[in-house]
Amino acid sequence: MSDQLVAMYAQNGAGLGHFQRCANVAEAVGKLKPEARVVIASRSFWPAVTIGLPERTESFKMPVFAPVGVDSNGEQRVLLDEEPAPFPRLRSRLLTVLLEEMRPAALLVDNEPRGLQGELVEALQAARARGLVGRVVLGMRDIRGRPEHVARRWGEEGTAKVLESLYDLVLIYGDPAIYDTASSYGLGTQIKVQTEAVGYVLRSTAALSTEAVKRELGLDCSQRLVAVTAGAGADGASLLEGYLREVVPRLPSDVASVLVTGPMMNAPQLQRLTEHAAASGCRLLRSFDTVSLVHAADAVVCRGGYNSVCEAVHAGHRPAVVARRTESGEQETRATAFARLDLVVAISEDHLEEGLAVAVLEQLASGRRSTSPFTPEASAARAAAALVG
Amino acid sequence: MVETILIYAQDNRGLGHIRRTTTIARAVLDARPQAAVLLASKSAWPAKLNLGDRFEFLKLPGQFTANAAPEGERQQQVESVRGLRRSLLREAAHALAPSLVLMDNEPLGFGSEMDQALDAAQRANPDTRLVFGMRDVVDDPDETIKRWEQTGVLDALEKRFHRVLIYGHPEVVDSAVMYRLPEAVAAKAVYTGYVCSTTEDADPRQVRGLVGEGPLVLVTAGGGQDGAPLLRAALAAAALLAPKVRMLAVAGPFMPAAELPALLTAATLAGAVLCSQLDVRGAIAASNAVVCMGGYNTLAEAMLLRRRPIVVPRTGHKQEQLLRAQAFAKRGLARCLPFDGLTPESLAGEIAAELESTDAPDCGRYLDRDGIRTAGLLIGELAQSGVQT
Repeated sequence: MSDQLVAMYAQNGAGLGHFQRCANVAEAVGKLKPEARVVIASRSFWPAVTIGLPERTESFKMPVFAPVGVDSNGEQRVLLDEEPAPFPRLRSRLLTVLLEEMRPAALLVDNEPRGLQGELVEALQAARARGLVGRVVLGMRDIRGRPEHVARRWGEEGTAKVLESLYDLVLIYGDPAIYDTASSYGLGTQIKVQTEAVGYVLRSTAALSTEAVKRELGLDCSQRLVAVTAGAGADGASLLEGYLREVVPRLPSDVASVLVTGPMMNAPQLQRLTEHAAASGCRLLRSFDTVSLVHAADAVVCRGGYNSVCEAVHAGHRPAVVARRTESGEQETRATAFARLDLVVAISEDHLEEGLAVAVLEQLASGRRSTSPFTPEASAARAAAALVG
Repeated sequence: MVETILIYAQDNRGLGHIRRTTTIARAVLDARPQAAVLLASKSAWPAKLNLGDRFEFLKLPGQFTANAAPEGERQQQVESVRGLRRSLLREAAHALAPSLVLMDNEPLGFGSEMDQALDAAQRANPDTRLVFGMRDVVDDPDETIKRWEQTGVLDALEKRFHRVLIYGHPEVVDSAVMYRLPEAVAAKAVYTGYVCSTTEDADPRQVRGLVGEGPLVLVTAGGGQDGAPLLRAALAAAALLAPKVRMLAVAGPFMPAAELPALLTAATLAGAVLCSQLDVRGAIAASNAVVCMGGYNTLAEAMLLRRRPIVVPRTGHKQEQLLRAQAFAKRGLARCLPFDGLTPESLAGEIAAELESTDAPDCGRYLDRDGIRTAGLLIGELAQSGVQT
């Protein structure tokens, strides 16, 4: 093909975050080099219809035949282990062919150097061996987990080796002033690979105005709004229940609460929450444009995922962040790092009664900041320059 | 998973092929608990459908947005993306080793892009059954036959394909005769009836509620990409018939946004309701007369609901809609009104005549409701493929 081509790989299963970041960088690529063309490969069934892709960007969706079900932790998710054998192999081959045919000037891999379940390794090895790709670049989120956890996993899974042997550059979608990603994970030291922190990359403009959001939610323009989001929703029920229990009874009468469960909440939890929310006079939704929602909100309660936290902080909030507790510790690490600079209030899932209501009432009383610590467009432009500059 | 079925549909932005093939896929999956279907196309539309765990889609990169590139360069881009799709399809067919491949509308795919994939499928699984799903009308017969001869399609139909399913009825369009199918091909051909889904997403009573009392005329332009002229003409006709007749105009999901303001003004002047997306089947059910283009699905749905649509076929280099509309008109199943010479008065006259007519056409025997007959024929083919059931 030509040297104007960029390939991207977004590891999404059911979520949107990775694909969204790739689309943001693709848009910046177009601004920097109008003749460039981008193909974003992913498994996700959401992006191609829910995100308007930038000019000269095309999506490529690989098939996944894994059923959605309840895993051993009782969480609803895509059960990758139950996928019949030919399909992981198929994706791996499709990615190899994509690079063989495109011979792109650059490949941007979002967040997971080996691809989901390692599906990208074969393609990367072939591309490297045959010189098919100009630059191989990883775009990684500020935080992957606690450093010791990440070091162990990267060692066990061979990620560290892949980074050294197959990548030219690691772009860090973060800011060392908030979290020093490179030194925390040994990038550039123990793991010999070049790094560049470009800043936080996120969707920054709200599709809907505050008035439009309130109208859609059936609220009065004069009412204040608390947005409570639970990320993808797999384990958001405890946060939303906690909010209804601890915060709602303490809110002034002009404040409305909107709770967004995320698409992956399982049916019994959703049913229970719907009843509790109705009894508390709150709106409960499965999904909503979160950027528009946090722009319209006067206070935000969210999980500690990259997009949730950054969108709220960028909109001028000091959100109350209740991190998901997982083995990697990603969200807890992020909540702590952001809280250290007073950008968020971190609240432990076990002690919602000790601070959640205060954090919400403080946000309502103090209003929003007028400035953001992030410059998402400049960050995306830096990422684009690293690909095609 | 015992049986995998690969379906190729050539839609890019349109919906017709996707709607037909997913109706068939649903019927096959309902009847065969062991089957899985992979639909390959350039459309992201399947993401909107919920066909369960055993249905997945491969969304191929389509054309990059048209741009100011010189013609030579653009042609090169078209070729290179087609080359990419050809390789991805070949890889998918090889890895999947499907029991059956259903090629919708073009036996070798758009620009023969499935040619290598069919070879790969048969190499990976020598018992693979190749089925061509042929629309009642493909395009101008002479041109289609010439193209099929030149591109090896007729040869493939004769030597490689096991079955030709004609999605139509010989009393309406005798496709085998129209396209002068060679004897060896005609011997493999079976008419399935017009494939249409019977489920309605929109409740006709709700549709009725949108427009109020009185005779209701629906005007729909399918996906909408080139439907603005028809909508303009229909709204002008509605202005002549108002206030006795109410019009509901459905622009379609792909109607260019720039067309909508003028259409909205025209709708207001005619006392009509304009909406951008609505389940057309529900809208047909609510209406007393239908004005539409000559797309396969719309006409099949009109038959299902015993309406005699006023068809203004798509103009341009393709003859498909004109030929279909003329064939339907000949059997009294439609009124055909070529766009050239169409005036608000002539259209209003046809609408008034249709509203007064009392003889609803009975076309039940021309239909394949929910694709059940087609699915049965495909399952018959699967039985030949050596799959253990």
